[in-house]
Amino acid sequence: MPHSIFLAFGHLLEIENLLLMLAGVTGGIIVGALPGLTATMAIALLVPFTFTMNPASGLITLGAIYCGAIYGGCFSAILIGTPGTPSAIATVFDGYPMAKKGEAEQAIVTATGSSVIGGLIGAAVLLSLSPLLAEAALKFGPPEYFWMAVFGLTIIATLASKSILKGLIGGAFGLLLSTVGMSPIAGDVRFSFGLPALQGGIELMTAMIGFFCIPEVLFMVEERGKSYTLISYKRQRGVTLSTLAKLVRKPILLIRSAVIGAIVGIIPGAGGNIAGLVSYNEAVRASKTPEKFGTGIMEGVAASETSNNSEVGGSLVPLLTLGIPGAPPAAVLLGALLLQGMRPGAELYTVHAEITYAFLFSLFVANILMLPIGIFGGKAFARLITIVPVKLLAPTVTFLCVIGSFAIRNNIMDVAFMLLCGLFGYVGKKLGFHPGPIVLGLILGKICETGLVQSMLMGKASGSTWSMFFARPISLLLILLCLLSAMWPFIASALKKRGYFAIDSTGEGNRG
Amino acid sequence: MVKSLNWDRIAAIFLLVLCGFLWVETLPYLDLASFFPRIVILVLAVLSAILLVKSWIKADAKRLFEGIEKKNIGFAVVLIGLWVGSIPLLGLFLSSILFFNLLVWLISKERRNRRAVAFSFVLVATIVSFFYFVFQEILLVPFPKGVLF
Repeated sequence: MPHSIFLAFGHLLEIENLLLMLAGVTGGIIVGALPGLTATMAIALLVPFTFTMNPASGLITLGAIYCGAIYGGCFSAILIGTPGTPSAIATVFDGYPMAKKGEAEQAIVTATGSSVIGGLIGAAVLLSLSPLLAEAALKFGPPEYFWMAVFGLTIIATLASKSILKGLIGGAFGLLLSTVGMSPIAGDVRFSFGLPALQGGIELMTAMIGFFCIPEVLFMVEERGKSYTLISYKRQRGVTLSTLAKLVRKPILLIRSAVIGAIVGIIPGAGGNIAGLVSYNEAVRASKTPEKFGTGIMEGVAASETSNNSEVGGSLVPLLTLGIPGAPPAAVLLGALLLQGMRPGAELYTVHAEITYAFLFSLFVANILMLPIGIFGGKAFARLITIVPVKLLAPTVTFLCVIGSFAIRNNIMDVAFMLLCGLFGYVGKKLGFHPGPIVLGLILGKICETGLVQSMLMGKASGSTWSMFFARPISLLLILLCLLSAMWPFIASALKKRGYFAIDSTGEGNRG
Repeated sequence: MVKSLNWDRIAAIFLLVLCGFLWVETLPYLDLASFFPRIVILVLAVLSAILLVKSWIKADAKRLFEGIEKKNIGFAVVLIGLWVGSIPLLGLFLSSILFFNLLVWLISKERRNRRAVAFSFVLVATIVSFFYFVFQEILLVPFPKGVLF
């Protein structure tokens, strides 16, 4: 193990990887800053760039893009009042009023500082928890994996859509998509309709590019005439240091927000938007002057930004240990991980320890890089929001979608399938079916089916199928969590009636 | 005038028909291969039936593409479809230059004079060539070739 960690540091210090991190963070910030382009989309579009890289460099780049994109959302949230990514929804509440009051730089510096602190705490949580959980996951048998998958699905169904019913339908539809191709246990080819391209199943990355990117392209076409009014952002001497000094004098707020972000991230399916909203809500509740929130105070920006960046590390915990993504961008990272031939679980910390630790350490560096890039490049990112025309952005995204879906298997059928998923995602979104649950269903389907069928077989062999599913301690805990997550909307509604929530936390969609 | 439709009802009926069709598809499969898909189909059918019932109890008729330029969305979908469809014939490089330009033209709200079209063409060719170079020469990811090019 120490040898692997030593080698991981070696990867990290390679000039090529440092430059890739720099490019990844900058690219991520640019995509995140542009309204309509999400962090999920950023990773999905940029995955093809990592195909021919060695696994360590590829994952380091994607990690940097993820961190950068989540942070980048704050620029448009603060300067135009529209979150660049859904994760920055809560940043608008105080960031935009701050900018309107002429405190745009203070807001951007607060967002940058809190993002760095949140990102570092999230990465620390990931580094300390994931090896332990991966080891604990060795105790997981098929029934536990089955219940874990069910838990992930119930969570995303209840959190990701305005309508629980539609969230559940999306999840079930995703599960159904996962059954296309070879059966994991029996070996039968299912639902291929004679098409050879479907015999190997649905290519996860292709489906994700389609579901997450093409609908956004069509939304850009819908809003082609939309223009944004950018609030002027000028750097003034001394503001950066004084704002950062004020920020670090709020350790409780920062730590609380980071912890909330990391926990929300660990919960499968819950994204940065939920982390930001919950953290903002808690900051309002804990404040001695809650009435000031929403009028443009740095505490509001800090709560949201610390939390959504801490969520990045948290969302990778279930991904790297159990193969269950904590958030939609993590789902795309799972696709990239699998394409590099790495399977989540204990193997990542033993066989691939060198690459895995290089990736984990790189998240710290990427977060630290965000500070100078965000502060010194802030003005350029702000300008990009208004100068990048939709007429070029939408076709460029489409072009990258085509390249990305083709490059995975060099198969033109994949491109057609990507487009089909995209159109389906677009119409689905119009009807209230968000792509998050569908994609999570697609990912969890194989885990769920293998767990279910293997448990049934084990149950038959041991003489009691019932006890196989309901009498194992970890399974019981997971069943309890499933029930809790299924009941959550009713609990939340009751809490809301009692005035527990200071803000409406029913963020539409969960696009990360 | 476009009539408002209850899209939840339409979606529910579509999903129920899909479930029926896929259930029949599973009939020849081995038990172990059909067990999970059948459970999922059943769950999806039950959820769709609930959506159908709900669509009657709380009828919510709406126009799906209200307030947007439907023609543009339609054209964009057709153009992207043609883009993908033309790759086997023209290759990715050429089809991208062609359809990228057409998409820019569709989305653009500015006046389309000869100079603007020429500028757009050069810009698009530069963008496509940049990515072509990066993928083909640096990342060694091959672009699909067509029958003609």
